[in-house]
Amino acid sequence: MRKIIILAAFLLATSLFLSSCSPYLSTYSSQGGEWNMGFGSEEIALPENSDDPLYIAGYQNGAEIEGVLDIPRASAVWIDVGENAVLLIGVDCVALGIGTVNTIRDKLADFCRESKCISVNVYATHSHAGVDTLGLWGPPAIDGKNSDYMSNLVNAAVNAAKEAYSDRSPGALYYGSAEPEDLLHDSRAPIEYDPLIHQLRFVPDDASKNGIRLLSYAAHAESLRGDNRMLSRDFPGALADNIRAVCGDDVMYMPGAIGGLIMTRETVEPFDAEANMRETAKRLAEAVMSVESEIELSPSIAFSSVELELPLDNTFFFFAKFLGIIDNKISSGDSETGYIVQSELGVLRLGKVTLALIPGEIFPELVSGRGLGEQDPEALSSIALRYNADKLLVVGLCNDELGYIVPPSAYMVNDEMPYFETVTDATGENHYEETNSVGNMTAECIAKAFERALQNLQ
Amino acid sequence: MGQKERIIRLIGNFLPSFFIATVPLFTASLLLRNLGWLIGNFIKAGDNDKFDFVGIFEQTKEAVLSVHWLIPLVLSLLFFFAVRFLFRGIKSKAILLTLKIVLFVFFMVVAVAFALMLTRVNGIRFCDLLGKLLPLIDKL
Repeated sequence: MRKIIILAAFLLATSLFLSSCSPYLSTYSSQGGEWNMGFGSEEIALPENSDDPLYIAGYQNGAEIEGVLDIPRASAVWIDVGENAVLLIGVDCVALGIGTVNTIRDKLADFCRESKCISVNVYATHSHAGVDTLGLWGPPAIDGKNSDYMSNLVNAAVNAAKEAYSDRSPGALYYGSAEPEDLLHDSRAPIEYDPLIHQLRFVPDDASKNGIRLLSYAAHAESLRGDNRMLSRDFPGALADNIRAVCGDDVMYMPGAIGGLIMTRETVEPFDAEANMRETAKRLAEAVMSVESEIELSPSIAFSSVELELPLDNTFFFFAKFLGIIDNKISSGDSETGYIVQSELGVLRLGKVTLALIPGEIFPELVSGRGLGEQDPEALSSIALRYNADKLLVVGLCNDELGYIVPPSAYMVNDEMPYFETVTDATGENHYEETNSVGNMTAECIAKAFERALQNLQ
Repeated sequence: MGQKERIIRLIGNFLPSFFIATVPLFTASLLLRNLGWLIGNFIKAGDNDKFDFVGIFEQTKEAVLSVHWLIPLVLSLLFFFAVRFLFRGIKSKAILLTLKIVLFVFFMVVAVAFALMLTRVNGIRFCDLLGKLLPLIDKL
């Protein structure tokens, strides 16, 4: 009897342990079968009677939201080719730290275990008209996140993911691209950006279901500009609305390589924020609907996620970590502050298209290789080519936000107040991006991690 | 010496070491969790101050603390053995008591200082923060 009780206790403990193991894999691949995709989306509810204010993210410190233009959403796409699946969740906000991403993953763990989802990847559209979800836009050095809003955000992301799973159906996946007319502006030399809007279009076999479009475009979502105090998804939201109105397809917008600082031009004169947003979205929607010569992607998924460690040189980020504003894991290491910060980078291959899931705002030259200096790391596109990944798209601000990823050859900080004050170089170039970057070594760490992730897929 | 007296003496020798091992940990935690209150008592906020230092450091109330216990523990053991063996030859009770008190206070202060400086607040040692913050305070 005693032995039976001990055995039962052992089995119970083992099953409890196994059920608490993570359902997520760091490497996975599968091919054959057929594409199954589904879409889900939910509004992020504004908290009622919250103690903390809602700060608008992206520009000044302590600026509170004064009204609502449209409500930010969490959207999700479920992707599988018959076995295990990958979830992509896009949130209409400025950025999400890895702590928030892991909270979403933890809440989805039981669901993912049951549904055989082996990877959840969460990115931000980088809307500069959303609520502060990173904590950097409250009063100076005071966490600007509203805990009630963050809770609603996590719940919306979880619900969107589950809705995407329920919506899944078989179909075909296509890749195409188009060039919107003269819409982008690069505020820092070298002038380098990807002018194309890239599209992954899922056409379900069931004609009664909505199609799904994943759109990748390398632009900061700030068509409403810096004086705006109205809550909005900015042009990514209006773009999704336009396309849905035209063809009924569901849309997820993914920011590409937007560092440096790539943004959309003003399209209306005299400037009117809302009109500019709508015109920007209209032009992008026209470009999307003009996509021709799509290539069909054969059903195959490969996914790899690697951890990376980055020297934390940015003193302001260092203080923000001490104060609990930034939630990355940190440990002692070789850097200006004596600490290194941990993050993650992923690669998701869908047929011939490779998505680099980059945890920050990477300068486009670090992806294309055009405009790099001698001490800069190998460009991501060059690394990708060596691993037969010739169609490379970047999903920025994915699974973390490390800030700008700046080429070392262009990296410059203020001598007196590094990372607190900007510096202007001899050519008149303002080095603002460095004040919002982890450090000089970030680009190299990203390039090495990208290559490791690709190696894991071999 | 009776059994009861031996026990009282043992407790009397052990207690100060116990305090050196534990009090600095609570002191460091208390100070680091109440940095906002401490700073409020040392810095007077002006009308045009850009930084609300009290509000900024009040955020450590919710911090994850990894209290540094090793050096206070080592110091407590050193104190215990010092009292046990170093002061054996001293006959005068008054001198012995004075020396114990002085040593206790010295070890306690050192233990509190080490615990405070080496405790990690959200992963960052307080001494590392001070090393970066103090040079900046004047400039800010």
